[in-house]
Amino acid sequence: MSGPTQSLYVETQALYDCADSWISDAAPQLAAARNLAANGEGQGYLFGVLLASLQQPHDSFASGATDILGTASEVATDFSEALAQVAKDYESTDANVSTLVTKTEAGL
Amino acid sequence: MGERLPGLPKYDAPPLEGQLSDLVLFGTPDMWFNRMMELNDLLVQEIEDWGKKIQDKINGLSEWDAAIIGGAIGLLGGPLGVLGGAVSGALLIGPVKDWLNGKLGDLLEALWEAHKQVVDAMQACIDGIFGNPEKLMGLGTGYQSAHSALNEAGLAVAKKTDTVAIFWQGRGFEAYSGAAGQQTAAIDVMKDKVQSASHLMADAAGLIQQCWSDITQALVALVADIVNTLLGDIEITRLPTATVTTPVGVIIDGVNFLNAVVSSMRAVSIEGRSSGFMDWTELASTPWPRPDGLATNQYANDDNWGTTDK
Repeated sequence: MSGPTQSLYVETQALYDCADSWISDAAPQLAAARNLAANGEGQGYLFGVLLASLQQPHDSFASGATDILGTASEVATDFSEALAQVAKDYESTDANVSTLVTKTEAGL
Repeated sequence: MGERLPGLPKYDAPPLEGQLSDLVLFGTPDMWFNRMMELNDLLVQEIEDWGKKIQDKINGLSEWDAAIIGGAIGLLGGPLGVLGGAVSGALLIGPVKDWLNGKLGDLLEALWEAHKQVVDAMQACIDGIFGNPEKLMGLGTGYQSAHSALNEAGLAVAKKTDTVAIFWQGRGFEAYSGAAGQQTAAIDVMKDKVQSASHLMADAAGLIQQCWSDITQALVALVADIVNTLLGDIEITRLPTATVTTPVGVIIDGVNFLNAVVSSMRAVSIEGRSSGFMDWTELASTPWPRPDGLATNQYANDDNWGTTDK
């Protein structure tokens, strides 16, 4: 990272990379998993009469998995946004400290 | 999931060569249903051919055979009895043909009645095990793909979190690390769940396909037995005393056999209601992970990621 680092030990670029991974890698994969689980919603009739007892628990599972994975995908996006915000805040803090140091060194 | 239909009667060999070659390949209800219908069509055709073959013999009845049959059925006991040989045969052809046609009707009626029982039993099988293994496997494959997607998501998050740990310290990182750990733990739980679901789908599909195969194999052998019985040549002069005991017996035995298969299917259904139901219920009802959303108030400042900075 560029700029002063005396105030906080942080590499904002690493935070941005991590934020990108949450939104570019994790969130789409979680959304894909959610969609695959959603394909099973209401499909329990495929078990037929012989295995009709499995219809309800299967559909319950598919519905539950769809909900959870949908939420997980949204959370991954939230993580990305929060990490990016942290990185920006660190950058702002470092800039402020840098300005103070510069002014102090200049006797202002 | 192996021996689900124990005690199936053994047929020495498939009497019709090649008919057993495709038994385990049924993937859809249509494929299996069509095979059942083909077998029924074959049975119907054979019974019709059997009747037609006898009808042809009746139509071409010779005077000599008519005399023999007339004697056998008592038509020569009256005024016609004084005549003999071809003369009496010529006079008897009409009445004998009428009598034989009536006899043939009785025999066919017995055969069709037995056939109806076969059809009823086949329908019971269709109703009992109608399911769609191909689509069940398709859903199972989807759950397996979901497992792979979750694995990719978990690996990506873990890798980047490890990397960021090198550059980020303090309470902010600790809060993030804790929250990220909860998410990856939730992902791991979901990975296990969708993988279990995938395996259970495969189990159910295999169960249905096993039933289809067993029952179809039994029906192939049954129809072949009936056809072989009907194929035997019939001496027209023996028709007065003929019965359809043998083919009807084969059919009735088949019906009893099919009833046994249906009973076995009930056992399979019980298995579905017990272990399969428990597996699915456990999968659907065990605690779901709770991926916590990052509400805006959880992120207030640079080192206040979660709720640990209090």
